[in-house]
Amino acid sequence: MKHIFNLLCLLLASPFLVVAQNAPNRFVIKNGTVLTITNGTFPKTDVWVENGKIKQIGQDLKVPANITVVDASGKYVMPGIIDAHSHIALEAINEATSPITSEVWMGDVIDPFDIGIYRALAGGVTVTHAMHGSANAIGGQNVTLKLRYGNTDPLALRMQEAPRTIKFALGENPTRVHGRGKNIQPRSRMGVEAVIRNGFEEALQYKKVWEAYETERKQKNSTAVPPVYSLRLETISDILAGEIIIHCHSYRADEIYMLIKVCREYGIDKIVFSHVNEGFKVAPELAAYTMGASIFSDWWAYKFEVYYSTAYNAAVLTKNGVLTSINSDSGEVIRHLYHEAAKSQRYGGLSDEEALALITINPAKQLGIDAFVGSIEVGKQADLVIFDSHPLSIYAIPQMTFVDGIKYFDRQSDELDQRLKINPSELIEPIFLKEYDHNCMQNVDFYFTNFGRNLFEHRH
Amino acid sequence: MINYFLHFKISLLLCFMLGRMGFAQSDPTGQKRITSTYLITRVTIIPTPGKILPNQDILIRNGQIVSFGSNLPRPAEALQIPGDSLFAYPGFIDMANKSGVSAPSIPEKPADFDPSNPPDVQAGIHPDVDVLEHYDPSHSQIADWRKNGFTIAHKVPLGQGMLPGTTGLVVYGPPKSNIIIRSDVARYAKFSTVGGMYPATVLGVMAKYRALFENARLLSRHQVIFASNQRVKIPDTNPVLQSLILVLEKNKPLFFETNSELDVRRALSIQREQDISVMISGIAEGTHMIPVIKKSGVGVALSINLPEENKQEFSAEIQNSEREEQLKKINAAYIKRLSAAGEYEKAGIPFAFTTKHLDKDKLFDNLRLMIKHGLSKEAALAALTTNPAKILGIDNMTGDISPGKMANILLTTDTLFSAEFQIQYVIANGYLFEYPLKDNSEKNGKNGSAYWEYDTKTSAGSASGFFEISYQSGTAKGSITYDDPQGEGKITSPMNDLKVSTKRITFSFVVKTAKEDLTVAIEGDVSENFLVGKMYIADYDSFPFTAQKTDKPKP
Repeated sequence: MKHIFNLLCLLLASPFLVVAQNAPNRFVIKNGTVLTITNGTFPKTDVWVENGKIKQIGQDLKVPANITVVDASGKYVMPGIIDAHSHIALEAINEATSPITSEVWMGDVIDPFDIGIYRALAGGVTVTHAMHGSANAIGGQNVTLKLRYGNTDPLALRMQEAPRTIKFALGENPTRVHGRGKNIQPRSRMGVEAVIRNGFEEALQYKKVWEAYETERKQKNSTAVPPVYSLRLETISDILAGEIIIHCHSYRADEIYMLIKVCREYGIDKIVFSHVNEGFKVAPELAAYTMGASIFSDWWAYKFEVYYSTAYNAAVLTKNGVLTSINSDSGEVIRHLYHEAAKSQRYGGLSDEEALALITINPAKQLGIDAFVGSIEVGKQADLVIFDSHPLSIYAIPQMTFVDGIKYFDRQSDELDQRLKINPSELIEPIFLKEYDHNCMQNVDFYFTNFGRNLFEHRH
Repeated sequence: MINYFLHFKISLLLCFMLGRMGFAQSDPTGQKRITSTYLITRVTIIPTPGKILPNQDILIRNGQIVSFGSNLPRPAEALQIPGDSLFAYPGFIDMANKSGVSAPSIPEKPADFDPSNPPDVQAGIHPDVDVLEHYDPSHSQIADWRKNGFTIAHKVPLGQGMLPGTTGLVVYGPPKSNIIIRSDVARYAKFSTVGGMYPATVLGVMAKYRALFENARLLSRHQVIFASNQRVKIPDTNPVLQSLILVLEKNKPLFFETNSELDVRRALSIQREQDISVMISGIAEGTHMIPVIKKSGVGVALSINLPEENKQEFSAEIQNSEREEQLKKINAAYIKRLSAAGEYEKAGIPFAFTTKHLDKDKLFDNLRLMIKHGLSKEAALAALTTNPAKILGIDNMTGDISPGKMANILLTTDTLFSAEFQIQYVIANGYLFEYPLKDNSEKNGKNGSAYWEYDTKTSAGSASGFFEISYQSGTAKGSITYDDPQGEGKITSPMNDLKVSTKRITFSFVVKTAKEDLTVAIEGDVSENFLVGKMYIADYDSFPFTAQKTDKPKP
């Protein structure tokens, strides 16, 4: 009911919808090849959408006479693509000043005007995991977004059903930013582990102090005085209580295995590893103890810790039973995640369903939203993409993208300029260095980046 | 009794005659006070936006408006200000201004400074700093704002961090007078940071607000327990949290500075989460947020600062329909910004204005742009007077012209926001500031005359003389004096086709000679007090013609 209300708000509130969204929230996509991901592929099949959800799937559905029909003859219908690691639609990415910043929340910095949202929609993406950057061992809490482009209220993009998630980061980024940059812990991989363990221990102590206080407070004539509140430790307590899924930036097998061990020690099983270039070396462990790996298809060698990599990673992980997804971590790659998924067929020979699962149901599971999205099933949210040919074909082009049964992208009515916000004074809007845009290390002081450090020959 | 009107006439005259030579007799400093009682006579009062009362007298005594009405008795000690043809408006109130404010000194970083966990004061978190302790009322910018009609300002503290201090209300009276209306009005709150330490981004700022407020709540709880039962440990002394406890108790609001509509959303989030009262300043965009703001009921101040109009063009070789479309969009976005104030008015939100980031010379130009794009003059005036008074809780004291209110009044030569109006007097807290009228009054201002001494050279030799241009109710008339061509003495002829602007003067006149009536035409460019031009004599030729402004020639 709440959801329907949200949709109504969306319809009423969005100026963009007036311009570009013609499809009502009650329609049938007819005669497409439906790639359900979870229940097989059905040719010449209809998908009936009502009130933002999938009402029925089948051949020659008996639909109301006046229903809007989207003809998908010769086309392919798949669930909206889900990007488990993204930084689009964010005003800030790193609070890089402390090795632990579990208190910060990306929901505070959602940028609904980012044109990157529209570009992602044009690539068939309907959900992104808007993450904190990788500057800190324990970074900020992330927010899962539905790409409801056209809304000006940032929180209207938040996927309310999604559970809490948090960013962790291992290896070179946190050690460079804090150790080499500021001469504080962590300066090495050992330091990263220490920072995380200390964080967990402090949170346990914090929880104990608060529990003692709450107990004492309930006593008659209690004079208990409250301890200091820490949103930081409060959040880590919630991680330890299993209320938050960790998404950890990681590359090397040793650091991945380290964190698996630490998590097991503290009873944490809700952890997804991100990037995981050496994941193929610890695939059985990932399969046994984690919520899997979210990886790049074939992106590596941009720094020392990512030299030992392979394009077979997705296939090796999948074949070893690791829940695997392919993410973008980029405002550019997000536009063709279906190509990235297809690479797992060239390198490793995954089946169509296995390959498409990498960008649909698998990331949905890793974000804890698979009950709502990630496949074409009756009752699920109508996040759908229509492709002109099979989405794993190099020639495939997304034609329409629906979120909650609302069409946010239609190649037929794609305008030259889809910005929501226009600079009132400047003909050419400023474009910032790509490296700092939508990137894991955005907002890290220039001084602490390799480039800045080398430029100023800064050494400790 | 001083005949102030005569004095005014003379000073006006001198003003015309001396131009910008600096001999004006007015008193823009407000220092040469001879009485604290003033009677403004026969003035048109706009006591509150939308109301007009013609032909009124206003009696001011000791900084307060005593009464107004027609033909008030004139107390002997009153300095009379003839208000004939003038308009009296309430003095403006600025919702957020930093002029005259300096940053508090921040202690040196400790030797063991840890950027991940800095002391609050280093991180720009010092909401207990009193802005008025860092305010210099003699700063030259204050006089500039007063000259523009502002009599009261909500002063906000300087500082890079998120909670730089308290705000305070001052009146723009003379620096040595009592200028503080109220200190500690609100805590100034921002989303910007010092940088190089925690919090460095808006991510950290939002988390820090939450942590500070929660700990302020806990400290307050501790204090209550301590106050009722001495057998508990002494609560921490923490001026930052102490300052925020007052916010949680809704004794003091947070006064947010915002730079984007997303900042406004964040300010509203904090208001909701913490259940505190907030005011939001600096709103410049996002008219679609109007329903949200209206529902929240928070006091808002719109920025008078407007974006620059796009002046760039695409080069000719890439000019095509797509580019034109783009230019159209930029222009539409620009117009949307200009229309924002009008949209707020339409929605019935009683907003105020802030001069933050505003170039003082653009104040009225920008207000006129907003008026041109949908803002009514009444709403513009309300945003400068009654609305901020209400939002700041000083409407029982100021914001309109009525008996008992603080004497904050502007006297203007024409209706506010009209093309050529000028502020001639500003009365702030009962202190009178007079400003010389600018040159453009020559065109259609009040009555007066300007005198020019000219030189010209023709083939017959050089000639010189005077010409006079006088103004009667905005219309210019002139006459020129020259040697009688038919004999001894001087002849004065009226000017025909006289056109005067601040940059150019053109006219013609007829010279009667024995043979014929010659029409002589003069045209010249004016800069400062000089005119350089040409004289055309009928069908003959053109000759150089120069002139200089001068005193009234002795007859």
